[in-house]
Amino acid sequence: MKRVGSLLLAALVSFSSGPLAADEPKELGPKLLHMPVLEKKAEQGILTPVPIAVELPPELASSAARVLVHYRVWGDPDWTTLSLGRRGKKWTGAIPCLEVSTVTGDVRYYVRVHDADGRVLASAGSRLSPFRVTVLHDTVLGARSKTRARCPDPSDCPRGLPGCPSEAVRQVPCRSDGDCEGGSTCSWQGYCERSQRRLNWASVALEQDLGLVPTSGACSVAAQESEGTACLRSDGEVYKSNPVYTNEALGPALGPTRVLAGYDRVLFYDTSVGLRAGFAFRGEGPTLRGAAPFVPWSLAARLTHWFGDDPFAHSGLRPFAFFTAGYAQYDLVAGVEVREDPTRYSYQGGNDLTQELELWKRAGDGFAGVGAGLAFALNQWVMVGGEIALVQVFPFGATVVTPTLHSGVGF
Amino acid sequence: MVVAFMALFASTGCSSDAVPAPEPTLRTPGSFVAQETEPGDVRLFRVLGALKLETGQTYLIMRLFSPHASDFDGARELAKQDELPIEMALTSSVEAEFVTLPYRVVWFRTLTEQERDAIH
Repeated sequence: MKRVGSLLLAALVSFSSGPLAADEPKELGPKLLHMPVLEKKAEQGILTPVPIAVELPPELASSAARVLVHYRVWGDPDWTTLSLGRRGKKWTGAIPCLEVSTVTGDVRYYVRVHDADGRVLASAGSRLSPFRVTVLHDTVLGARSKTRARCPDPSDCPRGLPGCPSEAVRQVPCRSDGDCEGGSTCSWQGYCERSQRRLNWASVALEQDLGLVPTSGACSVAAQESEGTACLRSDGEVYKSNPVYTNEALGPALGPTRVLAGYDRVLFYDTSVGLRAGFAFRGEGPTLRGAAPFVPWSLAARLTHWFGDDPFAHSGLRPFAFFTAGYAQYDLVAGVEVREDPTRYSYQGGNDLTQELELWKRAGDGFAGVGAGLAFALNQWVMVGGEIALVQVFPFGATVVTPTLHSGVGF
Repeated sequence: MVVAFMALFASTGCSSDAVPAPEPTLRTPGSFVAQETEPGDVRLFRVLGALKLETGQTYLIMRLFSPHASDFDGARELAKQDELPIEMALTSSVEAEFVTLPYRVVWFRTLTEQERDAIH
């Protein structure tokens, strides 16, 4: 049996040209420490720290910013990371004795060297081929178990102090997903994380447009010829007479009903961008002779801010607000009372002194607006919710409110 | 924000909004005129045209409908109906004589081409 007094990994760097162990996964890092390991497998007693020392060659030492040891004690399904401290040419630390505890079995570990940006410069061992230290009970080790100090009292020797076990690392720096292991990915903040966050979302939605349209003068012949309005009488005839303007500056109107297909990409914990393509299957108004026909298709881009702490990392409520702009036509229909001007000659008969007309406003083709909504994530993959947006349409103006119900799938 | 949008549009209202709407008169073609011939008996006329003579008199060319009303409000309701039975398709009256009896312009509707042709 071999004894672990101080496991010194005298490291020599051989970059990608260095020999790879047969079971070393290639995706673990771009560069590999080729290590003439003195003790790939060792033994020690319970309640004893596992000291680890790494000496980097000069060309690597200058660019190394952190040396991390990833270890897993017997019976623990998770890997834990600790950072070695720099002492001259060496990086040293120890798997804490309290972690080793009194449980016998293998402690596995491997070493990775990171630069200041978190990129992996080199590694020694891997999850598939780690170093192993077999922890044996005192009765097996016999007299050898008394040659090393036992676990210090944690209150006397807290982690991180010189001479005490290394500080545990909760965040492993990285630059890309390739720098992370065990199913974890590189987060936007440059640390490896294990998250079920879905970054791509496809959605379908049902939208009912509601609007506010200016009604003053909307039924004049000039407006109907040049401002995208059409006024229909109760007999279906287009109104072509002399209305007196009223004080009803704005009128509520019903707009088209649309189905939308969307795609959103989560750019950051609380930010996403997306596209919405829509089709208005109901609510098309009349097209007067010579006017442009209604275009039922719509396309919009949006920038969304999601409230809450990393909302895509877990299920539950996800409130959000967004800015949107794009192309769409809105045929808005409202009731408007028109008073006839009896002092002017009219070529169209049958217009009462006052009458209720059906006012259609074809607003478009561009729009921009803001909105807010609430989504509920059933899990990491499925989200349902509703939203409402207030958009201003131009150049044929109208103010449109778009309540929407939607559901999305993350992938 | 909704208020801001509404204010924006409200501010675009035409300045003529404040002007009182013009009312039809006895001489306005298309006016419905109710005349109380006897207390409780109101006849309904439709003005098809007004002809001003050199003498200064004005002739009203009208159509008289069959239904009578008991008051001016009832006549207004009659006038709003699209199809009214006609008692006299064309009648005329000197305005000065017509106004000797109580009357009121109760409604207005623009004349159709056929109604305009009736006096030509």
